[in-house]
Amino acid sequence: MKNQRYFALLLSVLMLTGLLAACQGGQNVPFASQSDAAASPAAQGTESAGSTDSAGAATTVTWWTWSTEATEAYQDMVAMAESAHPDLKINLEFTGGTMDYWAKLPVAIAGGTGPDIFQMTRPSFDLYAGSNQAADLTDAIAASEKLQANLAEMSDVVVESYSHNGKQMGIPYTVEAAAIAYNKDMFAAAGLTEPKEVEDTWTWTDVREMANTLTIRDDKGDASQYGFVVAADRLPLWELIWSHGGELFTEDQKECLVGSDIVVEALTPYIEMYRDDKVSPSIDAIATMSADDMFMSGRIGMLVAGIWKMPTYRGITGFEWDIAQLPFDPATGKRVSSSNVLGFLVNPNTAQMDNCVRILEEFTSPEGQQILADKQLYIPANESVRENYFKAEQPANILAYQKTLDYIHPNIVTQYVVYDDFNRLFHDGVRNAMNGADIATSLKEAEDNINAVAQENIKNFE
Amino acid sequence: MTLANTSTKARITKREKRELLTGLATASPWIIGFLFFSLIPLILSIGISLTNYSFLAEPKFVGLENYKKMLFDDPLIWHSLRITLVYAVLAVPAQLIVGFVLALLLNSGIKGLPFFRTVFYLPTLVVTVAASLLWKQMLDTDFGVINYVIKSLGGRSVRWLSGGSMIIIISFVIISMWGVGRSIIINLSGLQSIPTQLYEAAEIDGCSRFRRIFNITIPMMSPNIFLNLMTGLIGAFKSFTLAKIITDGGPNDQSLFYMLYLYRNGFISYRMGYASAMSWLLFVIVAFMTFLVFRSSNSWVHYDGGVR
Repeated sequence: MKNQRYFALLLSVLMLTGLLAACQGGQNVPFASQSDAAASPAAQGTESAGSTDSAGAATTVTWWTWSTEATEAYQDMVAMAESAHPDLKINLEFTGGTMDYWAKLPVAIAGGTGPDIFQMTRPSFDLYAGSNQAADLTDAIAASEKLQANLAEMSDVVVESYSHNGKQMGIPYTVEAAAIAYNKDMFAAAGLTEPKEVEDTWTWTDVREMANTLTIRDDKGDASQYGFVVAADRLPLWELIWSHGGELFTEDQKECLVGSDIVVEALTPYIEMYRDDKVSPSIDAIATMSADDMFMSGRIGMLVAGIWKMPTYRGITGFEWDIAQLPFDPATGKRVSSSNVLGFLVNPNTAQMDNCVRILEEFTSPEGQQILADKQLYIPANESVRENYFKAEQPANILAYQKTLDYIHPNIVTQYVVYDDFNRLFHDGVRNAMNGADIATSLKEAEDNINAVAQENIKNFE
Repeated sequence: MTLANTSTKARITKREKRELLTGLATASPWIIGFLFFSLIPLILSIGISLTNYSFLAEPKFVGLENYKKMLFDDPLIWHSLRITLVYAVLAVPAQLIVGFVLALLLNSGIKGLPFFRTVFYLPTLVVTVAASLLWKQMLDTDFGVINYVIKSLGGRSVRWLSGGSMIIIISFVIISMWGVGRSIIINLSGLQSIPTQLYEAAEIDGCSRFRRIFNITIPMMSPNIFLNLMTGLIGAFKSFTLAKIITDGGPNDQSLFYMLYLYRNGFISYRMGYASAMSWLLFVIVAFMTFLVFRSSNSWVHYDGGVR
């Protein structure tokens, strides 16, 4: 029976080996392509930096995205670009989700097998641009009249959001906006004026008062209905900070400011809504059952909602709802909406720069952007074709989002801290404060933690 | 003469050679996979652990800097190790005991054994991610069915997934019982292979049922228990999916298992050099614990009635 002993030993060694290999494991997982798996570079075992298919008829250019909700729109864009350029074949590949996307993308680019074109979210842009993970498109734009014309139809703020150290390193194609979504029935039952009626004047103080009125508790103090969702999340933390005049980072992006006096001042009333007024479901509840689910099941009076939530909310059948523009900061009289501008970046290792530019010319053209507007999923960055987006019947006050575009702030964070790390550390600080810790101390602690990461990364970049 | 014998022993026949080649060819998918996806990355990770490799910048050789930082400057390393160790200390014995006791009950001649065996094994067939999401809903503080039952019985809500490291670990231990069916099946097969004459002889000698379990069943089952202990221990140190899906290490790192922290460093923060160093620390720790369990097995694992 000594064999059993050796078998156990062998099994242990193999499991230990697997344990070590786990650190390396994700690097070779091929993408599941929804468009054409067989044609994908990963499936073919070839580099993706552009390839001509076996018949020599079309050159394949690969585009990576995580936005499965936009599948139909993206496929239409691909068809449009391929139709305009029959010598090109666009291999549209979806990752399993954002988590997989950000894990695979830098590995693939570093390994020389990444996509030719890839989707970028604005908060992560500086990191990629600053670490040579994106091609400089300045010269390509200068040489392309079409791209210049397309960019001229976008606001300067949006175009410049994809420039890094004076170089244009990405092409924006959508913008986002935030507003307050609310349950009309709850407002009617409470005898409150709807936010839509006061959106030109209301402040966060008004929101707090409304949230208190809308929150209903039983004799034991358990709430059956909450007035507002106070979440440790980008929406509306960044809105609150920016509209109060605060900043997340210094201009050189090297130092975090979320512990500064002005940020503490901006966030204190919001955090007090949670821990003192108790107008929001608990952090635990939000983590388990999403705020959207709670709103859609009629348990929440108001919440901050990005425009991308609208297709989901259109499924609400149990009550009437609408949206209103974000409230003003009571101290500064300003309001700001964070805006996650999506952009196209090009792999710095691609051998298909010219073809990438031809495709981007089509994607950002009025025709390409019109597809996004018609699907009413994303607001096109090209302002000339936005009209159809705002023709949606629901919510009734959809134009609130259009007005919001006048005061958007692109989600610029820092080159020196990975966006997920920044969010986690910042939100940990906010959560500590929401759970009762001193607000200034918690935010200062978050700032210190973020700065520690930034300082370490700055060493790698310099 | 000795030389001649050795030569005879070393020579293999054509048939043996053919069988060897067939065997290697059959095992080649595994061998190739092991080489390219385990062994070579494993060796490479030693080199990577000596750099600041991050995908996003040119790797620079930093010597033992990652190891130094890990051991002396990163409190989350010890925090995550402590969480993982506590989980292992609670979950592994719990799984062993529950798996063994349920197997004993199923082996006691109850009616409908195949039915119960299937019932206990079925949960192990549910995909871990799906099971994790299910448990997340059930353990929710405000809307979970478990707290609903507790409140119905007059108790107070428990913050299963946010009430501090200890309570989250206990929640994970409870969830890990979901997969105990595998251990039951292994134990059940072991129990059914114990010669019945041993029990008959003990019964004639007047042994109580309790003594029979301790003096016959457990010693005879010790190889199975040993196997379950080893795989359970290593599995506990590799715990990742539950924490990733249910809490993602939060809130505020209260459920930051070591593997999750390693993953976060490697694939979220892009510190691949540091993550590689972390994997080697875990390797050393788990190898040491495996060694200890192996050494201790001399005194409690019995093969065919004798101590190994």
